[in-house]
Amino acid sequence: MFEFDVESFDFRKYSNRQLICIPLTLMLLSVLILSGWYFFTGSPVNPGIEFTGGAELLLISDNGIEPIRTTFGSSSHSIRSIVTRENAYIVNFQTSLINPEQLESMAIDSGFEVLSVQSTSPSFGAETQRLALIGLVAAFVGMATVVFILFRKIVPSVAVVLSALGDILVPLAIMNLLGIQLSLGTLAALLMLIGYSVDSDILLTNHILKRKGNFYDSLYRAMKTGLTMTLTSFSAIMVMTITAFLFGVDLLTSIGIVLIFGLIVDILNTYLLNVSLLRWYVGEKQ
Amino acid sequence: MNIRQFWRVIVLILLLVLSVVLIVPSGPPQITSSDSSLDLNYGLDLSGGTRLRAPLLGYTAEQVDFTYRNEVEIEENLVDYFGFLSRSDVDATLGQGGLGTIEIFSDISEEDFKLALDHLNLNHNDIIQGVTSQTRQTTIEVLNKKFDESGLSGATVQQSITTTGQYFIVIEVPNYNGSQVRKLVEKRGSVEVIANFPDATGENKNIVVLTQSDIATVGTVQEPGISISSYHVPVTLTESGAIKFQKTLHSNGFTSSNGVNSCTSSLPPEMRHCINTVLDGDIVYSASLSSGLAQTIIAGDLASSKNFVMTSVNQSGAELLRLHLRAGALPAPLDLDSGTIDFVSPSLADNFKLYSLLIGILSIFAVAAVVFLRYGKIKVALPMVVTALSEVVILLGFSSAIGLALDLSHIAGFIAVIGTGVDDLIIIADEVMSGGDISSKRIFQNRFKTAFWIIGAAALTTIAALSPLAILSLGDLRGFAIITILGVLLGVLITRPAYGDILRFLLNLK
Repeated sequence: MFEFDVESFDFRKYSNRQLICIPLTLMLLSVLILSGWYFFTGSPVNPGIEFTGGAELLLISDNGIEPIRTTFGSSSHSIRSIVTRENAYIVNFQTSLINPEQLESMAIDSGFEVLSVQSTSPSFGAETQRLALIGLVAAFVGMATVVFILFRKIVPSVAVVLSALGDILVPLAIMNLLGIQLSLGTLAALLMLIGYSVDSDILLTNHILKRKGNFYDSLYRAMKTGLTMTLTSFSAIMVMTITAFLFGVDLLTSIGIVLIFGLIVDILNTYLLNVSLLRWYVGEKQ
Repeated sequence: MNIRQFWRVIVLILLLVLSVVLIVPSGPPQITSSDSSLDLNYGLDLSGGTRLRAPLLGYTAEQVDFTYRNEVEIEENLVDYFGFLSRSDVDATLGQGGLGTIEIFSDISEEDFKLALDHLNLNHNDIIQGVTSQTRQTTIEVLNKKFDESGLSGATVQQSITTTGQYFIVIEVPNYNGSQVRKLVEKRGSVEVIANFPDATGENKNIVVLTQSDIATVGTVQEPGISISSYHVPVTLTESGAIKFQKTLHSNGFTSSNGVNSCTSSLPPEMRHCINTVLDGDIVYSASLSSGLAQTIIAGDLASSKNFVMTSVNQSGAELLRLHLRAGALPAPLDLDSGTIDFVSPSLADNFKLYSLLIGILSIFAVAAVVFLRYGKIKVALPMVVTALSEVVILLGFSSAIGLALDLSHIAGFIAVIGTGVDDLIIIADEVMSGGDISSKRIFQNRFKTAFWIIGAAALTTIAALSPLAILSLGDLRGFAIITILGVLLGVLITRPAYGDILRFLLNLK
C-alpha cells in the first residue's frame, strides 16, 4: 500500500504567479508551435490521409525495401518499416493521382502480400476535415457549457475549461514535434483527454468550493484521489501503448502516445493552473 | 440485509448474466477455431474485408414543368442536346401536378444542365448535386443483387448522409479485397446489343437492337463449342424484344448474303454487318450474324424460339456479362474517385482481434495492480476491478444484442470506459473512506452523495463532449463515441452506485 506524499509539495511557498507560469508557458509555446506550423505548412497540425486524401498500403515484402521503391518509385510519399513485424512496410501516397485498386494490383503483381489498404479521395478528406473541426469545437463548447452550468461561477469554470484547453493544445504541439499525424484515431485520443482531464478538475473544484475547512486540506485530499486516478489511467494506457506498439496496431499506439502526453500535461494543468486560479478566487472572497 | 438497499447490485448481476448469455454462443462449445469462441459481430478491422464509400454521380433538376411533354421525349431531347450522353444517362420522371424531376447521371456541370433545360424550354427549380431517393434506393437494390449473383457473400450495402446533405453509398464486403469489390461496382453494368452496319447510302449506322429489358431469362456461362467459338451466355428474349431484334436485323441487310458472316477483318469496315455486345458504352464483343440464326430470322421463327446468345472474349468477361444481365444496370454510377476504399486482410484482422483482447486484458491487469498497491485492502480493490470489468462485459453484451460490428475504434472506447470507470470508483472509495470509520449509515450516505455529484458532473461533461461525434458521420470516431457514452451512462446509473453498495456492505462487516 502506498500513499501519494502530496504534502511534500508545499503550495504555500509559491505565489499564484509562480505556479501558473509553468502551464501557461507550455500552452503559449504550444500555440507558437501550432501557429508556426500553420505559417510554414498551411495547416496547424500534420493531417493524415483521412483528412488530406491519399492512400496507405501495409504490405509484406520478402526482399526488403528495394523492391517497393522500384515498384512505386516516385509516386509514393514515404515508405517505412514496422519494427515488430518482419518485412512489413507502410507505403504512404499523399496524392491520389493513382487510384487505390491500381496500387493494390501493382503491389500484388510485384509479389508483395497486401495486408491492408486505406484510401481517401481529396474531396472526401476535405469533408472529413470540416466535420472533425466541427466535432472538436462542438465537443469543447459542450463540455464548457456543462461546466458553467454545474459550477455557476465564472472563475472556477474558466479554470476548468482553460486546463482542458491546455490538455488539448500541448499534446497537439507535441504531436507535431514527434511527427505524429492527426488522424481520426488521434482525434479520438484528444477527446478522451477532455473526459480524463475534466474528471480531476471537477474533483478538485468540488473539494475546494463545496467543503468547509482549510483550503490546503481540501486541496491535498483532492490531489491524493486525483493523482491515484491519473496513475491508474496512466498505467493502463502505458500498457496499452507498449503492447499495441509491439503488436503493430497503429491506431491504438498513436491514441496511446497522445494520451500519455496528455495525462502528464493534465497533472500540470490541474495542480498548477487550476489550483492557483482557485486559490486566487477563494482568497479574493475571504 | 435488505434487498431493496442492494437493488443496484442485483440489477448489475442480472445485466452481467444476460450479457454473458448473449456473448457466449449457445449450443455445444466449439474448440475448433478461436474466432467462433464469442458471439460478437466484428467490423472491417477485426474480420477483414473491404469497405467502399462513394457518392452516386449525378445531378437532379427538381419541379420541372412537364406540361405538353412526356418523359421519353424529354430524355431523347437531352441526349441529343448533349451528344455524348446515352439514353441510360438521363432519367425524366413525371410526378404529381404536371411537375417532375430530371436526373442526369454524368459528370456534367450544373451550369450546362441549366443551359440544356433552358434550351429545351423546360421551367425548373434548383438543380442539385446528387440523385433522387428513388434512384438511390434502386441502386442499393441492384448493388445487393450484384453481390448476391457474384457469390461475394455477406456484403452489405447501405446509405449514409453527411451534415451537408450529401449521400454516400457504403459497401462492406467481408473477406474480399478492394479490386475484387471494385470490379463489380465500378461499372453501371448496362448491357446493350447494338447493330452496326452500312445503311442504303453507305453511311455507317448504329441501332440499339436489345437492351436489358428485352431479356427475359439468363442462363449460365457456356464454354466454347462447335457452333459458338467463344465463351457465351445463353439468354431468352421477351416476345417484343425478339420481334424488334428480328425486324431490325432483317430490314437492315443482316440476313442478306452480304450481311451474314460479314463482321470479319477480311472485309473493309464499310462492308461489315456487326452485332456488338456493348457494356457501359464499350464494345466487348463483335460478332457476325450466323447463317443459322439468319435462317431462323428469315423464317420469322425467332419470335417463337426467343433464344439468343451473348458472347464474350473470355470466361471472366462472360461471367461479368452474365452478372450484369442478371442483376441489371445501376441507375446511377458510383463516383469512386470521391470516396474512400479500405481493405484489411483477413489474416491481419485475425491478429488484430487477438491483440485487442490481449491489450485489453493487460490494461486491466495494470489498473488492478495500481489499485491493489494504492489501497492495500482486497475489500476495496477487488470489487473495483470486478466492477470495471463488468462494465466492459455488459457493453459487449449490449453490442452483441444490437448487432454492433466491433472495430478497433470500439476497443479504444472500451479502454476509455475502463479508464473513466476506475477513476470514478477511486473517487467513491476515497470519499467514502475519508475521515475515519463509517460509523453510521447516514455518514456513508452523505459521503457517497458527494462522490456521486463529482462522478455525475464528470459523466455529464464527457457525454456533452462526445455526443456531437456520435451524430456526425466521422467513420471510426462514431463507434468510439457511442461506446464511451453508453459506458458512461451504464457506469453512472448502475455499476458505479452498485460499487458503493458493495463497498458499504463489505466495510460494515468489520
